[in-house]
Amino acid sequence: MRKMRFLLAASVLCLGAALSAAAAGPAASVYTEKGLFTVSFPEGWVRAETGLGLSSEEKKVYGAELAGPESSGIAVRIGVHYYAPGNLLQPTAKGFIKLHSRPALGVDPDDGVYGNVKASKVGNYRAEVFDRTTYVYVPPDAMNPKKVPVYERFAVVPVRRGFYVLRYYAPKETAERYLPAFEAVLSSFRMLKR
Amino acid sequence: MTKGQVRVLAALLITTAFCMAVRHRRAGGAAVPADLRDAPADTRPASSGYSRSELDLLKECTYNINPARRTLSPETALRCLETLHEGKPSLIERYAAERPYDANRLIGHNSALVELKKTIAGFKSYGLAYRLDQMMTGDTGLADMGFSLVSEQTRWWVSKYMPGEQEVLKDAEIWQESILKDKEEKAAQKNAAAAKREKDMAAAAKSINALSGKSAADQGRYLSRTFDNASSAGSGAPPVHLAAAAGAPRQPRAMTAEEGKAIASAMIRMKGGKPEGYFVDVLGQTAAGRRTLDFYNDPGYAKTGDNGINVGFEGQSSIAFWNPVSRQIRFNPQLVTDFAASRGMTVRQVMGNKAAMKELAVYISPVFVHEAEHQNQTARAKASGIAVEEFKGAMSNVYTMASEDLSYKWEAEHLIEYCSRNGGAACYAKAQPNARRDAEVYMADGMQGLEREKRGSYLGVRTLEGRTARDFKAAQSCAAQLQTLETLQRSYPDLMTPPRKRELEESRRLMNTRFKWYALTYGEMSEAEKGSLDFRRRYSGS
Repeated sequence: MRKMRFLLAASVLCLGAALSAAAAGPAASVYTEKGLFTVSFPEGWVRAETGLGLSSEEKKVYGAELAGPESSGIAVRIGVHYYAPGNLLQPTAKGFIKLHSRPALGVDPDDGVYGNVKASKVGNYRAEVFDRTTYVYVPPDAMNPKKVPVYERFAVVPVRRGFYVLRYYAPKETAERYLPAFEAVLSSFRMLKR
Repeated sequence: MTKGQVRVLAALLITTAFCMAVRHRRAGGAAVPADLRDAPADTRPASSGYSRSELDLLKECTYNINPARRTLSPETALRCLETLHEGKPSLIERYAAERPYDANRLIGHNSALVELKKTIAGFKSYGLAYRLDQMMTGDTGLADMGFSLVSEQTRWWVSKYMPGEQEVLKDAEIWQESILKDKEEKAAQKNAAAAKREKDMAAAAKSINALSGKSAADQGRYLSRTFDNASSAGSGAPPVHLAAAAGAPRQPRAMTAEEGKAIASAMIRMKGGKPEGYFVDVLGQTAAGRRTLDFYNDPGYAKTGDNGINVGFEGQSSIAFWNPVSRQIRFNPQLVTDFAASRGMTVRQVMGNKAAMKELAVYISPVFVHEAEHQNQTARAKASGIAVEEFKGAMSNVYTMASEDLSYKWEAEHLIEYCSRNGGAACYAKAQPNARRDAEVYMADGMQGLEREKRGSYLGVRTLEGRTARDFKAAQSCAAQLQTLETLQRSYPDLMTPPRKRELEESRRLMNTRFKWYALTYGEMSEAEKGSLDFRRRYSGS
């Protein structure tokens, strides 16, 4: 049985968070990854994973990604994941940052913009934060697709065993609007184990 | 005859009638009658071969889809789908062997709840209304669970599970009348087209009769004039990739049909049962490419004709597509004209220059690997004994978003491996832009990254959950019949006459194809992700 528990009882816990009503609604849903962390996601957003492929246990990466409103055919998404030691995706926080803070292929002919990695905080936790803007092709298989800029912000929180990644993904045209929802997620993030 | 025997035989009579009806229809057939809907779903597994936690899970998943209990939770449904297929054999496979009807409902209805939430979250206005109408009018188990586009049940469900989307639902409800009108118009157009086709066929038959006695050349001229402009897709429905590319601007055609034929043949053709051409040299340099070539070299598929090579260039708004009905891979001619323009050459000059043709093969090869994987998927499904049905022109029942995930994986791995061996950054800079973007996303975030980026654009393509909901609904009445026959065999073997035994075997075969497809896709996706993680570790240097 999976560790995930999606507790929809929330609302009261998060009303104080800096979450604008226009961006994410007045309430939030508390998500608990058993034994690892709790976080409040915007109310009404939906789980975005497909459930296909390897399970969380097999990958040793635990958490959730939720999708919110859509524009230009792309949904805003917020994900929070814990990468356990020995996970199959990224062995170290350093490796994750290296792969996502610059073009993964070593070159980006679309001229994406990659920000610097900065030391910061997520709640009371020490974190490395960076952002990037890259271009998504919409529709993906069109001969002449529209290049839609997508803004992403990452907060990587290293811990003694493994690391956490909190990620924001939004079409640039709505990125600013829903950023408060991501900031509220960051504020609500609580580790249950360090 | 005991009361129990009478009950089982009566159930058999009813389910046989419904199953027969479904077999003679395509997916989306008759609804199961009300008296059958709830009867088997609440029965407990007969066998004691389940652990306590498995029984609890089956109970929770069964209760979740019972409209009388009014749970219908999409979160529970997702958890059920994630956990029911764990283990080998999985719980759902064991349960299906024993209670096919219940297993079928369990997967189909829970899938429908997951798909419903995704659909409401992902679409608006007319688009949402159109899809909800499709999903709730006998297309999936949602109708069984009391949902329709405008109903108290749907409103209640949205207010409970998606309170932020109530306005979106209200907006979609407004479109109901337009949806009905559009459906009526489409039906009228279809009838008119069918009548015209019949008339044309009759006229053509008359003309063909008139050809007898004419020379072969005259007959050829007549047939070319009559049929060369026929659409390869037949019904006019969009082929596999076209739906994703709707709305993209068309480029003026700058390559002749003859040039297209010559380039396609130079890229890949069969000779002595083996593929040859410029593609073969490029594909031979990567594992994903060699996998593609292995498919075209496979003698087993050669026997069935499922790995035949039929590539060409045709004007489309999408980059390329695989059409499982006509068994063709078609590339957009603009791939060639873009390539030629980027090198300051004409198409003719490219054709006459070996080095340029080699570079063109590199440029198009990721697209070919992608489409060849779709062809391979169709062949694999057939070889696994899955009843592949093609409908709506070029779509098939085994085509889901999972099919795209696999194709993108192989396409990206091919380009990454090729460029890592042939110049790195410079190679990527010259690569076909869509393929390069796919490789970038794949390298950073794997198959899930690609799925994240593309899901919203494949509006016409169902997720695995959506396709499952639809197919399992169609198979539901056959599953009910199978379950009744299994019960009869277990409890009253004396009543199993030879025709009933034959019917039992046939029902088992039919249902196995449904579950096999489901199990095959889940299995393939797990294997693919394992391979994908290994690949990315190797090429990212981590």
